[in-house]
Amino acid sequence: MPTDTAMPAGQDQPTSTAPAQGSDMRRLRAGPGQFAPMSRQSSFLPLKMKVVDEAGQAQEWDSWRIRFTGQGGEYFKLWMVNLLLTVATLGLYYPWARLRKLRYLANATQLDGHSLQFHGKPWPLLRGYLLLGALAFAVNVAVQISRPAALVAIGTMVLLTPALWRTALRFRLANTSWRGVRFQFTGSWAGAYLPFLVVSGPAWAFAAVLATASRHAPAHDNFETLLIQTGLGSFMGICIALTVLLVPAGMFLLKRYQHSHYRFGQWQTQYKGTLASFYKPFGMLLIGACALFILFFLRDVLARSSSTGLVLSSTLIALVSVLAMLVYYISVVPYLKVAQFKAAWGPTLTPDQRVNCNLQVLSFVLLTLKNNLLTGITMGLYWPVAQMNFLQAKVESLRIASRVPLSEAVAQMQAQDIESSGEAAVDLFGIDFGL
Amino acid sequence: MTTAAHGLPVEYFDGHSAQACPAWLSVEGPDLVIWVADPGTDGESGHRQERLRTPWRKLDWPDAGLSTQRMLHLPQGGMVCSHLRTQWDDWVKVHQPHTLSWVHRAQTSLRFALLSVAIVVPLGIAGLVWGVPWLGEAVVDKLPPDADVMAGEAAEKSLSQLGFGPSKLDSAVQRRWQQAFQASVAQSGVSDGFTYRLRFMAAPNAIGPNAIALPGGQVIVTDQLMALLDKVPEHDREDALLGVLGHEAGHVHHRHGLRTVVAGSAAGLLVSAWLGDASTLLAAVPTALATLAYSRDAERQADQFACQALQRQGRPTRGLMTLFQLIDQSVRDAKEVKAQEDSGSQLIWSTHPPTPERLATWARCAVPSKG
Repeated sequence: MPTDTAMPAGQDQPTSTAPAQGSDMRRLRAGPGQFAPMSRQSSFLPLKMKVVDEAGQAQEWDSWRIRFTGQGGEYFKLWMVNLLLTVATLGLYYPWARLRKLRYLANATQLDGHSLQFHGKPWPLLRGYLLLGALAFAVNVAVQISRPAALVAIGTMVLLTPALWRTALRFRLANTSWRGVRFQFTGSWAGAYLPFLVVSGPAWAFAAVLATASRHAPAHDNFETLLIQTGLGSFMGICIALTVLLVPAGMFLLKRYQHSHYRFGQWQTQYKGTLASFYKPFGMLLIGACALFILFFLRDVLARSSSTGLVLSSTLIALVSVLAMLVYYISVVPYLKVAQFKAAWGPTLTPDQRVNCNLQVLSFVLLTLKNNLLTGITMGLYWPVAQMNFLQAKVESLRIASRVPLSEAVAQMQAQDIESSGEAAVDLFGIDFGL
Repeated sequence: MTTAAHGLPVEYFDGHSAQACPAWLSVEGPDLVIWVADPGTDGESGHRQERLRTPWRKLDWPDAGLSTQRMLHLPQGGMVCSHLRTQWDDWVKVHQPHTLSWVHRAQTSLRFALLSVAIVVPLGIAGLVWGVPWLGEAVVDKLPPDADVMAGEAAEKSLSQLGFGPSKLDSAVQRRWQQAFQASVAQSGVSDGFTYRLRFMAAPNAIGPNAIALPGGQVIVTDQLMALLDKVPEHDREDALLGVLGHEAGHVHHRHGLRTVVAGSAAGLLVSAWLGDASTLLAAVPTALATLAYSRDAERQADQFACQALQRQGRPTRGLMTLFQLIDQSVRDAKEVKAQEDSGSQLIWSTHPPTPERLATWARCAVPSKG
């Protein structure tokens, strides 16, 4: 049983040496299509990465940076035409549009000279979307009919979400290949439900207690009076606070489930991340939020004591809240994204491979600032370019080290069988290998 | 079996092993043939054997590989790929009658992309300006009046949370105004299935001197508005309050409550379709701007309705205009906002049309003066 010492050495600093990084950069600029196979091979020489193997031995394995060759200009054209066709067909073209996008992104992701391939077919995808659409429509209708119907519909939706999420993961992985070998997602049904159960635990507890209490409560016409009558207001507060506190744990379980069930050929990933790595950024945010709260409180007291307080405070509140929102979107959100990305990918490994992630918070914050600014100025036209920038930053922060040549991967199943295991073509947004 | 030395050099992956195998592509009639080197040779001098044969017409030639290598997925699983883009493209042109789909050509042409921008952007703007309000009206037209009544009841329940309390107005005064309102509704001849009712409430911290309409027919006037009404010259008071009530009845009649809900979510959908999963902050601003624009249009429609209602009852709009100016002044006083008349920035962030415009609407409302 491998322990935490089996994690890649020097996980937090890039192990590549400066000159080698330089040659990497040159290759990036030259563009991939211009190389003959011979020169390509010589310029794709892997770097050595220090690794501690399962027996605790320090070793040097070959490692390759994952490259992302997606270009803003190309993606802009693809996005624009996709949008036009989707609008022109009243949305029916959407599966084809989505497919073109997914194919482009897979093709743009390269490891050791070969890109990923996406094999999804449009018709099953359309069926999947229609199914999801019908489900959403049914929930919408049910919500308007009556309260019990709404509860049943929303409950069904909540219960179905983990299953849909797992199905979407299977579909995405089973339809992605590298050097002709398919990926697979091997997670179980039960595993998919665990993170959702943990986070929603307090909500279930509250619902159960409320249901019991309301049976003895006098007639009530709304939720608020019921809360007051049953005296469960503070219990609800505790449950909400507990839910918030459980979110990082849920995120950890989610990532652990996701990252310990990827499979490529004979290699099955394992996840060695810790719960602490998800609570650390959360704790820092909590401290920051407390500091902000105290600041607001102090300002409020000061404003009340001065004579012109009222005018001053209403202008200030507006200013401060806009500023706080901006700071939140361009620093807190990217900080959390980076922390989560590193916590998810860094400790992902197989017996023969390690992952190194060197995504930097500061550069990602600056990138977020730039992308949001330009997207705002161009009224959204810059968005596809921004998306390519984000993906490049994330994907290219990853480096894969392997004990053996990656070409030794051998599919354990026929491509057709893998594909049919992910046959339910459910495609959810935001499932991009957790990128 | 051997063949001539020509053929497109590619890497072949059999779908089982991630090991690349040097191979050559050729076309023989309807078939695409993949050749690999004879054992013990490098295959260069024509020592090749056939590995796979497949009808090329049935192949799914991927064309989204814009900046990356060229590849072809094989129906048997596996693929061939090449890093020699130019050589591959030339070979395809000569040997392969397959043509790139027009979507692919469109997606790689800057001209077409710009054309798409020129179509999609105005279409999106037109959708926000005309499409969404039209959709709101069309959808709400299909809903029974009960939908308004239900929405109104739900809104009524939340009033106390919004700072509305019981009115301190004398009940006899309340009854007199309620009768006047009923009479004016009957006089203006509106028949839309809604039961119009007038109710007084105190809302010092919620909306101040104002009136609101709940979907389904309930119109609520605040005590603060009634206090302002006392400043209107006595002979204009009835016209003034009935004008305000007519405006609120206009919201009910045109079902603005439900239309706002439908139009708001449709605008949100449209904006997020454009900005994709871009940041929620970026998507929120245009959605908010569009919603405010719909709100101003609804107010204009309600103003018109009030005009017509007053006209039908033979009442002038003078009282309404006086009361309106008083309301406007009190709002300004409360906000300590100095008069910055309808500057553009104020207009786009406002739920109501600029004051001068509304006054002009009522001033145009030519009515034979009473008595």
